[in-house]
Amino acid sequence: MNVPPVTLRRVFWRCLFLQAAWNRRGMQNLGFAYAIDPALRRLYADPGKRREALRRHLATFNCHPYTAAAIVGGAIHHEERVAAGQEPPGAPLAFKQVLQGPLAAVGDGFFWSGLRPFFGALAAVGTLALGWPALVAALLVYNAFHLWLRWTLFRAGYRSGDEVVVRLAALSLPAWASRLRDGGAVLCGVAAGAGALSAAGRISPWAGVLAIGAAVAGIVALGLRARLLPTAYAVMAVGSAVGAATQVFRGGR
Amino acid sequence: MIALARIDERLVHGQVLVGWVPHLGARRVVVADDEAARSPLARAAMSLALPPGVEASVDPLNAVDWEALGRSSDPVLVVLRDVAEAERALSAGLTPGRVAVLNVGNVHYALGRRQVTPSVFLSGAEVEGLRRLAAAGFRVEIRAVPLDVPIDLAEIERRWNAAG
Amino acid sequence: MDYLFVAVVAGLAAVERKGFLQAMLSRPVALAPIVGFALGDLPGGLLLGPPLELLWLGAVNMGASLPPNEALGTAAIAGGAVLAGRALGTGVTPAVAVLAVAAAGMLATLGRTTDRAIEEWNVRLAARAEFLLERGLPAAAMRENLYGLAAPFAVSALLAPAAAALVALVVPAVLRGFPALNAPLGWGWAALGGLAAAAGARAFRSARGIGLFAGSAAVTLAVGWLLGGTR
Repeated sequence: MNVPPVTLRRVFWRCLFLQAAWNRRGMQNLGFAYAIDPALRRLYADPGKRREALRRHLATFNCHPYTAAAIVGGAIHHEERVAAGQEPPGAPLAFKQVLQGPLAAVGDGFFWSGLRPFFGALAAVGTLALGWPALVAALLVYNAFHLWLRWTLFRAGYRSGDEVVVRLAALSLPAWASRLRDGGAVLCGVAAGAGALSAAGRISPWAGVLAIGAAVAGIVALGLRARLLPTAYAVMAVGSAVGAATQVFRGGR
Repeated sequence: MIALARIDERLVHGQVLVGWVPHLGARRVVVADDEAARSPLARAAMSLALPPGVEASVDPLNAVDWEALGRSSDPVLVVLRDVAEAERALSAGLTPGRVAVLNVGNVHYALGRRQVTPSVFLSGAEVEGLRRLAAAGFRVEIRAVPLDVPIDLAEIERRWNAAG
Repeated sequence: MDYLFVAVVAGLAAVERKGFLQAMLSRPVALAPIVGFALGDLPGGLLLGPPLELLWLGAVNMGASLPPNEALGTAAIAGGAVLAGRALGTGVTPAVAVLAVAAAGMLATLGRTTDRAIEEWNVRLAARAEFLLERGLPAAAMRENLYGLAAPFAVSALLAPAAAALVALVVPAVLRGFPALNAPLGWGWAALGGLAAAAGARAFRSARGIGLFAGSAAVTLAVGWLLGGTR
């Protein structure tokens, strides 16, 4: 027996709540069970069997919230076979346990350290240059792409089960992530340059020099593992002090 | 050389590849785990997330050539499943002479385990095991990601006793 | 009324950040303008969003390790700055922005602590779901998942307006008492912008990142110079 498309869509919607009850012991366990429950209800008419299935999906689970969609899809793929008596009841759990770490790594590497910060930097630079329309455009593009990919992963997991790994490998996301990281660093450079030019125009050329100096100091300090917030306080204080000194100097002249 | 030996129930995941690999400048990740080595799915999955220029292998613990890894010119990151596996690895040749630091990253909650850090739960036997590994010469620490403050064995024991 | 807006927006952002969706709406670049818009000062929010985004570009929830809560920090900073700017009649100036970041930035660190407490609290929800399941109530058990959205909403909806109120109280007092601070603080804002860009570049952890960052900054400066001179 197959899970009907309308139920699959319902499960996908619930995948968006995967981390609603993220907890220290089971992590995304409750979220996972919550997401897959509509499919289990379809597959197991007998309440005892449904409860049994839900219980196994309450085992500790943690993955990236986007790429986990592939595992939810794949778990339904395996549950269909369990319900049909073709696989042992442990198969969906084994599938989840093997894939959670690697798919978390894919998600953390591509989305959290590549695509999302890239779009964050893009939206920041866009806002500085063009105002809110650029911000809205960047968010629309990011979300159209990310939701499409989430859905695609979910469907690929459901249709191909273990083969989803091959499909994912074909996307070569780690290579894209490294390009996005380079692109993001370039965008941050543009932000530094634009910020300095704007300070130079608004205040004085020396304020532009100060902004560049703060960027250089930031690169060095953070490279030496200085903590972010204390560094920010120090930079704001020193920057303001330099501003005050310039005023005193001008006033005295 | 082996830059770090890490105990992580989740084996290869984001904290390892996005956090530790760039931090250590590792070119190679060695997963020494019988269970993962037996599963074709696990072996295929481990290579999914590898950044360009980093290679990974999944081998049964006894099949790993620890001496060759110790002599490797590029830094190697070794991943083990739990404390018991780390003790097995020690007797198989993953000695303190080959890697100074034994890092504990993720050990999930299970019956009989007490919470030591947000991501590490240990049983009494596992604390004993860590004590033996420290006595063997490893610097034992709990640290999920490189930027976290490391927690040493004394602090692990203190927290474990306090959690009882 | 304004604080109610701050509370609702901050609460929803906390939910969007972890429990539901993750569509960048709780990232500083989006959240600061949203707060500004809700309080009737979109330009103020747009001034704050980009530097805060770059500053916290590395604030990423990876596995079970928690980053500072950039959304809580942003909601408090943006809410406080807009209300302070309104009290002064100047809107969000660079001086107001710098003081708001200084006064409410620490809330992001506090937010990490509350996030941890929420994860501990949620253990009860998971345990309760198991209990309900054993009692033969699967639907009720699964509903426990959604109850997990309440705690982050409540914590952010309480902390963000409180911190914003502090900013709205202190910042106008400081700038009225010492109007001479306005100009120097503008320099501080320029410096913070530079640091934020550097923090963003560092967050990408790319081997070539620092070179690319320096190169593109130099090119941007050169182009700007050629197009408009230094002024």
